[in-house]
Amino acid sequence: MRDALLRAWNSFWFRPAGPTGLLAARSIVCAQALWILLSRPNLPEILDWPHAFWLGVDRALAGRFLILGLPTGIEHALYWLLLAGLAAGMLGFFSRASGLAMALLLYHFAAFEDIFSSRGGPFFRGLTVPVMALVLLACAEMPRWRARPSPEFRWPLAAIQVLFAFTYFFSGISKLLAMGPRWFSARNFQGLVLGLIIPEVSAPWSRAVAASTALCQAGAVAAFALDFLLVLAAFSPRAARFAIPALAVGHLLVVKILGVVFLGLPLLLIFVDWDAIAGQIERRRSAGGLRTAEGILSAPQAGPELPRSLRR
Amino acid sequence: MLSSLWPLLRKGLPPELIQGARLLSFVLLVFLAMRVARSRDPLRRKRRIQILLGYLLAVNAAVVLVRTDDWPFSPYPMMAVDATDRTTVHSMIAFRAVDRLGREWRVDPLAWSPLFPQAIMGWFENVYPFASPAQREEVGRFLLARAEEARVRHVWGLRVGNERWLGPLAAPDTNLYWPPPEGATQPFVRLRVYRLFWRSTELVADPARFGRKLLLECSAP
Repeated sequence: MRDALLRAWNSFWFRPAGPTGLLAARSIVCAQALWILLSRPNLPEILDWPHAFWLGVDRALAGRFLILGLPTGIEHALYWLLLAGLAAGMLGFFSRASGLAMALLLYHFAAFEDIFSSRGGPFFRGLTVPVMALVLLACAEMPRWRARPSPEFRWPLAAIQVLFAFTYFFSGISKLLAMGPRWFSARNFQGLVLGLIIPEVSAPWSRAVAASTALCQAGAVAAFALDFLLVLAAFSPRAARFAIPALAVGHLLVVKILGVVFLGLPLLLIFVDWDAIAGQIERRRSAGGLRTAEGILSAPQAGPELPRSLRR
Repeated sequence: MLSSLWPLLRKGLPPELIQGARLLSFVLLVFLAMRVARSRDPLRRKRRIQILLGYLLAVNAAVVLVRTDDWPFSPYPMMAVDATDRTTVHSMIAFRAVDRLGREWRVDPLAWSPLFPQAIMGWFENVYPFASPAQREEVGRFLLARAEEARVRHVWGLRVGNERWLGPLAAPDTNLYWPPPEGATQPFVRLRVYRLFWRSTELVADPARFGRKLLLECSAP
């Protein structure tokens, strides 16, 4: 039993994989973080907001997120440095030092959006997985195009995929711990939809869904599937082929029914089998190259006739 | 059980210790990762990778079981609530800007960028009750000035706040908001902050059926 578990553990984390998946994951993670930060220009400016906003932020909390009273100019410079690093990382320019620096800066700045209000950390802002992924990518072997398959290209990618799958899986577990299987009932789902209809704002399909017990039951089943589906994708590329589109559609429905946008959605792309795609492109290219080579070799037979002056 | 024990265990602990422990859990992750990066010997490297992976899985699982914040380790408590009670009275903070003609307008949701209204509502929920009148006034005036700035940009057809760089491609907030005010041509001179109350079933039947209570009103200087 122990040996079987050990084999499963080793095969999951350390089976050889090509470099493309890890290269793609690095670009996707950097692009995701860059997208969020470019959508929050001047995040450091909240440091200059009136002091009253900071009344609820105790020193310990600020210290935890490395908000140490640096001059705002320096914070702005660090923010720009982070943006530049992420842009470079997205394009493939990534080193251990830059990965680690980006992870620490992202950990620092990610907290800004929620620092005045949240008591649960900035867990739902699309930066949770990028922070941890950057730490992992900083310690992983730097992948190169066309490098031989290696376990070094597998474990960091698998870890990032598992971390992302946790977003859903732990969300499902949290629901079960909070309320048990009753969470996934039509009545509870209806209550959630109703609870998110607030004065003057409601998601476009919320009233229609709340009015139908059957749709609420379907919603509850879909929520269960959403929460527990992606874990399968982390373990099986075949399941990923089905789970990724299903989750993308699921999230569109969540926006329409509950009015909640899941900012981590682009990270689903890390479950695409980039190695297989790169392999296919490579095979097509080499097949095309072979045809070209054949064409060159057969040129004297197929080519135009020699000019008369040269036939003599 | 663990989740009910944890609040008892941490009760009375100074915030420095709790937040310090949370920072430490992240620092430890970085430390373990750097140990992996530094190792050259394949056997030692593999062992260190296993420790790093074990740590990642263990802390994530622990955070879920005790249902606590340890970001970037998170239990992702998204909507993990009992929503079966239909009698609950819900409430929220709402903001209205008042123009020179005395008309009330909803504030552009991007007016307080880089933060979204949800964060400002959070401040009013958690901090406002403990703030002094002067501090409340200071916050109100700041928010009013920002609301007016956003109105002017909107009237001029310029991008507002978080959409300044990426435009419509900018990442939105996780919550849906109301649209920006259309036709607000007169300057905003006052800000009113209300608490709205409603019952879900009543609001669904009639979208205008909610109560409101004025929390704060402040004028431009």
